Amino acid sequence: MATESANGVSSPELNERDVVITTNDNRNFTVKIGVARVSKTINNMIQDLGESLDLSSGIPLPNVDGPIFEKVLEWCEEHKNAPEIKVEQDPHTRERKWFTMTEWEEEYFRKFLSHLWDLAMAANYLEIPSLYYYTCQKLAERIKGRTPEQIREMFGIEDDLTEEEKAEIRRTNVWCTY
Amino acid sequence: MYSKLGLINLIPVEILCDIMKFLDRNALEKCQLVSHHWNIIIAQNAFQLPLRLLGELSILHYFENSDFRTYFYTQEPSEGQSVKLDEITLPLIRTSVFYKFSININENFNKLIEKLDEISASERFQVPTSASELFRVLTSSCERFRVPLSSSDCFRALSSAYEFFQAPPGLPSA
Repeated sequence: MATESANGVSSPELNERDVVITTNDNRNFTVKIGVARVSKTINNMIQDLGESLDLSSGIPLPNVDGPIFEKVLEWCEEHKNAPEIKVEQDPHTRERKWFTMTEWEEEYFRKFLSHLWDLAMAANYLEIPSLYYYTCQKLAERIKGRTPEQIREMFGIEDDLTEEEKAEIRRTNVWCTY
Repeated sequence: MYSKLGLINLIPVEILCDIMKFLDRNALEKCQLVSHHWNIIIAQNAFQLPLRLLGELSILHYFENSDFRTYFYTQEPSEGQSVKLDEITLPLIRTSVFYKFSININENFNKLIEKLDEISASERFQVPTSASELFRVLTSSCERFRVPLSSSDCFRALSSAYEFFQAPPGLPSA
């Protein structure tokens, strides 16, 4: 088995080389380094390993499973040359500014609508800010404008608040209109 | 899918917070009613989650909870911008009146008007409408809610409103 080492970690040629990534269900993904390093976690591993990186034997990802990683890779492929996103918030309300998504991104989330939580978890672990914050925004979009009952139903959350507790929350939220 | 497996409570708080930061205060209050877990997360992270606009305050409710400062803020006027009385001053004064005093007021509103003029004259906030107009709104509000106001209570209420301007609620005091 040929062992390649990752010399000159920032060179453009390296981005064209393949690296094998193994998910926790033992699936191997052969990925261009330029795509894989959209994930800061993977990028750090590549950089830390430096010369000792064995590109063919792969990088293990114990916290991500194959089906989700496949979806994440789709995102990475599309965003391999994308600039860093900027997370901004309203200085007064602390409310986060909403990102404008491209048609591709909208379609991506439409396609994987039922996997938003998994995507958020994976993107968080893999440190892919664009995917992470965009997924969070998508989840927020789904929460916004819904009643507590609808939110519970949508996410399968059990209603474990007593009527007294709800009354107390309503009382503290003095402007609440529901 | 987490919802189907009922595993949503395993979602790290960090992620839930990052989602909630995209919401406004109205949506967050609904989230508090979703479950015990969500309510606690929002309560514990209130300091970094979005706040409520002071302009959204309503006279229909009054404060019993001294933590209300956590939930709103006053917007600093940017340079050259005048703050409309209705958006900021009025709810603030209502808030003060109804929050601080459970009130006995009836007469001598001259002092109240004087105080309002003082606020109008302050350099920090240009109050565009007249003090008498505010006075009318304030008194009719009191009438509507059958809150009798004494002049000294008015005076104290307005002083505290003025204090709020010095240290807007929700913003960290230096």
